[in-house]
Amino acid sequence: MDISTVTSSMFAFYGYIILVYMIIVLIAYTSMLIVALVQLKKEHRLDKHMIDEENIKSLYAQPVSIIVPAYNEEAGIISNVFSLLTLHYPQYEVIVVNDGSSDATEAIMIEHFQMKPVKRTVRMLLETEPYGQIFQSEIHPNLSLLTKENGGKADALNAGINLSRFPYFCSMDGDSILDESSLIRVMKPIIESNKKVIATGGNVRIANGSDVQMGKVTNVHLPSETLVVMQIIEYMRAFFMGRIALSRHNLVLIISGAFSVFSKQEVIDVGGYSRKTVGEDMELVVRLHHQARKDQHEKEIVFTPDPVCWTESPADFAGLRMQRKRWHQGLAESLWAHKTMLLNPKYGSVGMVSFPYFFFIELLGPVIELSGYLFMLISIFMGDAHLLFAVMLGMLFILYGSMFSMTSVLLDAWSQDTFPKIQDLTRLLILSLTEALWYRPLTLIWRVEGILAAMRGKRSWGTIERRGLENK
Amino acid sequence: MNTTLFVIAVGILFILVIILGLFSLILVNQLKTTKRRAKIDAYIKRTESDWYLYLIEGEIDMDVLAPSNSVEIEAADEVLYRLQKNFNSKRIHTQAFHFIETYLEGFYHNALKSKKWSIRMNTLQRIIVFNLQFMLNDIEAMIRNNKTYTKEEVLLMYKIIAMMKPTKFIPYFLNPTLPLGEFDYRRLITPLSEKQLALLARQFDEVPVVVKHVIIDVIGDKHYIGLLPLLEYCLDSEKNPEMRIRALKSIARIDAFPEITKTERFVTSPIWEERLMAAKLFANAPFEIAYEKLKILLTDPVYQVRKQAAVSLRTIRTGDIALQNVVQDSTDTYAVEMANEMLKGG
Repeated sequence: MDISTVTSSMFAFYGYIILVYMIIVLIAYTSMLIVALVQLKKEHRLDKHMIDEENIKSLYAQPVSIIVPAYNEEAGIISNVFSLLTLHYPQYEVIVVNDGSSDATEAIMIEHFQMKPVKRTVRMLLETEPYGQIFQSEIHPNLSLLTKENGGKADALNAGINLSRFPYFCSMDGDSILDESSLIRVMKPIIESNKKVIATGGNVRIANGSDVQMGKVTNVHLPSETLVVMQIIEYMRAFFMGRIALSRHNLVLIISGAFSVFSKQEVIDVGGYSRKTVGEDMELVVRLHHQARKDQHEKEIVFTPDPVCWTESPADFAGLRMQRKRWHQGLAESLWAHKTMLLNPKYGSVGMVSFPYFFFIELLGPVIELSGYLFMLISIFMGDAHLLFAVMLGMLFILYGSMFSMTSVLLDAWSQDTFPKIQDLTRLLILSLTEALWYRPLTLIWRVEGILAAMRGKRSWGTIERRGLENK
Repeated sequence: MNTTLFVIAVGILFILVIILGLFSLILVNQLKTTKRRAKIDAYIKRTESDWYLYLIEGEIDMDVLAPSNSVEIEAADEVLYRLQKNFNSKRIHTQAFHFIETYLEGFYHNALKSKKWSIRMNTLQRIIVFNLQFMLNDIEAMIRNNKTYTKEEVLLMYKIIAMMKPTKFIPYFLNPTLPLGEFDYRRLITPLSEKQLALLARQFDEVPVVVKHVIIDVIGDKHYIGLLPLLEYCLDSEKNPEMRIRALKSIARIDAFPEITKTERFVTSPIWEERLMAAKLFANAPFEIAYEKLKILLTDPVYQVRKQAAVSLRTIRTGDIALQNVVQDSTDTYAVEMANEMLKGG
């Protein structure tokens, strides 16, 4: 047997591995799509406003501390805080944590909300960087501002937890805004579960291009930038296909740090947010699962598609690359820190189903998929039998990359009706078709970069340009 | 190799067919929903002035608005619900009820039997909002039959029974067809009137602990001062500290203050939550008693208790002076620190 035959056989063998892997992934995603469809169909015509009213009237909504870690958020902090001050919820407080910003975040907050320094004893339940001053608004008594030395998002959140008064806290990004019913809807699973649910995540949507006035999204528009539209499609896919299905069976390992609620005591018990990772939100969720299983407590972490958090997404390639690289690095670090859970029956379905899914499909998927793209290109050049491989791989990528995205777009249109205009829906569907050709390969490269950064132990958030969501 | 590739190709095609099938299903549903919604919106726009004239002015007869197909029925239901929700008017409610009785009764009977959970839930909610007495038999039949309903449906059914049979709801609450937790009972008991709660309270010693807790909480939330004796009774519970804590909290919420003999022992309770609630409660006490007891609680080793004591001190008559006295006279560091913080607006 000569070398070229051996090489050819090995090449073909690798091709089979990629094919089989992709089919397994397709089966997993198809299953999740079906579960999501069944769940959404059940609630399709439900009048959710009636239920919101009932929950508010029941006077049993648990009080919540909303913590907003802010680092150089002068562009969007006012919108963010305005949206929080108009939430339809019986009892809550808002704590903005100025994490050593070098811009005018603090000055803007103090001026806009007439904040005055107060003396408040803070219980250091979690260790953080030193605090500066605490301010309280004279016009909104439930709004506080805590200044501190820069320590990163995790540190800022821990500082907010120390200052908070209530048994639940909501972590929110400083450039995001909430709908007025968002808090009551994200708290619903916690309230109704008689405290069995210890954390919930809400749906994050991209507000770029939409009309935002005084912290409220008044009209939703599809942005003109194609790059942002691709991210909208991606978000729909991730939330509708992944998280709904996983949440149904308490298998959620990621709830968005942009908008999530946690039981304060549970988080304090596991030591708060970790400063050792750039993916502090997902690492916390994995740690909560880890602890709950270890203690054999029946606790749940769920995702609810109804409550909406609007966020600003990067509008250029550099910003998007930085974000995706960081997310994937965070995923790698979080999973690696808890690798003992992988395929460990001691951790129940989280160890045997959810963790392997996130490890082999979400984390390692980009590596295999990217090599699949390369394999396909090489196969086309090699021709003959390899051409058939190339065709099949190509079909798989279109299925995986584009068909699922198109289906998610339709699912959103049917269940949420985010973009009711037919021209917006058409544009979303057409762009979904192109995803496998350019957008997906790009994000795969960035995600692989994230894995490499995790392996090198490099830790940096980088800077993404913020324009703010408010209409100027 | 060709066989393997063939099998893989068939597998891919199979998945493609499933996904295309799902895609088509969603697309068809989306088109149907959009079309129906457009028809409903068009109807509402066309008839909004007639609805105004009927419901508010009473100038036209309801026959003008008689629905002739399922779209118009659904639209009428939506219009009436929106108006009922946004206008607190007896006249609108009466006019709406007449219309519903005449034209929508059949619609609601059928909707309650729908296979779709969301339709049944919306109908149950409508029954509550419109107080549709003619649906009571349907509700009772649903409870009696062996069909499995979700907890959300069962709770709404019990709520309807409590609303329409105000003295006959207790057996349903205490013998539910599904296990109910605290929040579930909260949803059931919160809407009860004081008379209804008093009826339930008569069986206080027999009801489950979770129901006891909720009754205590709701008395405080809704300021049912007539049920204060029950709360005082709970203060004497020896076996259930949770009950005592909740009773203290509810008494504080009603702004009442029982006899000092019933409450002073909580100032030195070994359970910090009881001391915390006592700190809340003593804000309602006569000044001399409040000052004496809250000064003690200001030196409590637990931060939350000290904080609450300071907050309560601040609310009493000449509370600021009382806090200043603490700062000047107290030798306890905790107390001085907390009093200072309160005086400086913390």
